[in-house]
Parts: sequence; C-alpha cells; structure tokens
Amino acid sequence: MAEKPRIKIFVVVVLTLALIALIVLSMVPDSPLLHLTSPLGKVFNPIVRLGQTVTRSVSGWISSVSESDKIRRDNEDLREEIARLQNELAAREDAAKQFEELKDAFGLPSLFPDMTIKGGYIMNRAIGDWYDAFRINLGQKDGILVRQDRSFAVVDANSNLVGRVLSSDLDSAKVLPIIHEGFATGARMEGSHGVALRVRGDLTLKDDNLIYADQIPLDASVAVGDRIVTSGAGGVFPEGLPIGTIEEIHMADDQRSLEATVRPAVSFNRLTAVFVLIGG
Amino acid sequence: MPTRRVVILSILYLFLLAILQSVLSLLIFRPAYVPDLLLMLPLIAGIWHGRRYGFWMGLTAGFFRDFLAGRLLGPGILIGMYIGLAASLLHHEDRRFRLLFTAVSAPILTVMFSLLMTLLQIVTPYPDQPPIEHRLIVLRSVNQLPWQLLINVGAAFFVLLLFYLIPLRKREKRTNLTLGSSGGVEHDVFDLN
Repeated sequence: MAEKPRIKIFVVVVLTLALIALIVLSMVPDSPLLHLTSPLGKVFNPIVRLGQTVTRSVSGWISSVSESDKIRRDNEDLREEIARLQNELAAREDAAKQFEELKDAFGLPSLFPDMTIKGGYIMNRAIGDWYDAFRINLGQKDGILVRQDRSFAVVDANSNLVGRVLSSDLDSAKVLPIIHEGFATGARMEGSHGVALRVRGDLTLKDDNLIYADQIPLDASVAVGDRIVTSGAGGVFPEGLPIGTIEEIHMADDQRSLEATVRPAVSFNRLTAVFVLIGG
Repeated sequence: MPTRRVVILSILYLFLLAILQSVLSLLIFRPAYVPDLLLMLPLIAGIWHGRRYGFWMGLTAGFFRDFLAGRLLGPGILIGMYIGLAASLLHHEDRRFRLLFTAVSAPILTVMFSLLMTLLQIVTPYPDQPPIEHRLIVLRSVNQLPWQLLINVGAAFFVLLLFYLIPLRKREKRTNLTLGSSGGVEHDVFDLN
C-alpha cells in the first residue's frame, strides 16, 4: 500500500523537473517551445475578440438603457426614440473612431517608407505584477520573429511609441509597454538641438501612466512641455517616434544630471489598436 | 478516466474564465484590480473536486496564465499544479467545510502568490532592465495587497458560482428528504479513490 503514495510523489517530482526544464528552455531566444502556445492562440484569439466586441456592445446598450430610464419619466415616446438614436450613435461613434484610427494609420507607411507596418489589436493587458506583458494578435506569421539582437517597435495609430515586442509565437506576440519598469531606451528632445537622454518605465510612476527620463545633461535646455522622441540609437526603434511630454524636471540624486517625469504620448487607457514596425 | 462531460465542462470553465480575465484586463487599467480568476480556478477545483482534478486544472490554468501574459513558459504551469495539489488537501466530504476552506484559503493563496510574484520580479528582471530597488518592489506589492485580497475572494466565489451553475456531475434528484444538508458523500470527479 505504501507504493502508491511513493509513485505519486515520484510523478510530481518528475513533472516539476520537466517544468523547470521547460522554463529554462523557454528562456532561450527564438525557442521552439514558444510554438507550444500557437494552437491555443488560433482558438483563443477570435473568441477573445468576440468577447471584447460583446462587452463593448453590452456596455453601450446599458448606457443607452440607463439614459432612457431618465427620459421615460418625462416622455415615454421620446424615451424610446432617443434610446434608439443613442444606441445607433454609440455604434457609429465606435465605428467612426476605428475608422479614424485606421485612416491615421494609413499615414504610417509614408513616415516609415523602409518598414512594413502590421496592424493588430491588444488581446489582453497585464494580469499581475509578473504576468505583465500585453498580448497582441500579431505573431510570427506576420513576420514578427524576435531574436536576442532583434526586436520590434510597437506604435499607436498616431505613431506614438507603445513599447517593444518581447516574444512571439505563430499567432500572437507579447509587448513590453513603455510604462513598464523593464523598459528603457535612448531618446532625445524634439527639435534641432536634440539633447540626448534615456527614457525608462518606473515602478512608482506606472500606475499613474507616467514614465521617467534621466541622464539629461545639467546644461541642457529643457523645459516642462518639451516633447521627447526616440533617438534611433540601439536599432530597435526608428528615430523620431514621439514618446511623451515633460511634466516635471528635477535634479538627479548625484547632482550631476537632470531627471524628468514624462507623460507618454500614447493613452494606454484607451489603447486597443497597435501597429508593429517590421524591417528597416 | 474522466467522462466526456467533465472534459468538455473543464475546457468551458478554462476558456470562460480566461476570456473574462482577458476582457477585464482591458477594461481595468491597474493589474492589481483585475480579479485573478485563473489563480482561483485550481484552488476551487482542488478543494471541491479533489486531487486529480485540482492537479489537471492547475496545470491547464497555469498554462493559460503563461500564454496570456507570462514572461516565460512554465512557471504558471508549475505554480498552478502545486496550487491544485495543495488545495486538494482541503477536500472534504462535507460541503460546509469546503465552503469554509474556500473562504479561508482564497486570501491565504492571494498573499502567498503575491509574495512569490514579488520574489520572481526580483530574481527575473527583463533583459536591459534598469536596476530597481528591491524595497520598492516589495512596497508596491504590500500596497496592492488589500485590494487584491478583496477582489480575489470575490473571484473565488465567482468561480464557485460557475461550478455550481454548471456542475461537473449531473445533479441527482433527491428522493429521500431525510438526507442531511451536506448532501452526503461526494467523490472525486475523476473517481480517483
């Protein structure tokens, strides 16, 4: 009888070791293990998109109904008419917004003529402090193949920097947003005098949708409201992508440089569509 | 062997909760305020349906977590497996005990998971990540904990409600009204024992 528990413990230990091996192997860049999630993405992504659409429709319907309740007290006939019109308007506004986003996106190719631009949707955002990457519905089938020395810039419809691709499987990719503390890139002030600096996510600022700029020379001419763009150094991001606007400037702890709090140009709260810049 | 109903319903639970968590992550900007349904799933599965079901739901729910937003493939599967197995130690024949264990273990799991995630954040930084004071990481986790506790207890009872509304085993009509409210002995859905 003592054999059975022993076998079970043995199975758990073997599985634990196998999973640890899986973790280590998935650390290898371009690991074939990342393909494991591809079949799941094929089934899961369309369902999530459907779920998102249904949620938007339901919230639109609820808001129109709650509005109509107020109107009912005044006039029953008008209530129905207004609710119907509001619902229609909400649907059209959504469609118009998407159209505007996509229309603007068509301007992207002229900004980056050497690059292929792939448009996609955010499937989910972070679901915890360690599970903190965005997932988008673009993957290796779209040419997004991440290697140790190669990543991809992710922008919104107005070409504002959103983040960089961390990893990809066949149908989806994980994106590290600029507000994440793991993100850092070279940047410069917009304009001809272009002071070089570094922009990075910050643990204490990310909940307020802010990022940090440091390594700004003491003699640099920077002011609140100045815009920061990518410098193009490092090769991941093309030069000139808008990052954000300076909100506050202060002295670094070592008193040898300036630091700044930056409001990202991209609005993460409302971000649904993203574009990956490939090649160049 | 699990019945076809168990397999189909388990896939349904997983997809339903994963989709809900995905959609909620888009609606709620702060990750700490998103109910962690995929964390609570193996806990409820282990407590309410025993070892083998907790084990399998832990593995699959963990795989979904890694797929959705994990930095690496594997930690979620491993953690989920252990949650399912540990939760099954609380599997009890009496429904009232299972309910009590659910209410007690959901906040405990949230605290332990938060500790583990804090540790993982410290030991597995992203490539090229600027150095961060460990104190800040710990402080942030501690600050988020009260909300997470509240939200995850709610998430646990939501998963429980799902298990109740769409039960793994067909409910049998009660013919003997003298039966106790605990509903008698229930077996592991995979008929382990």
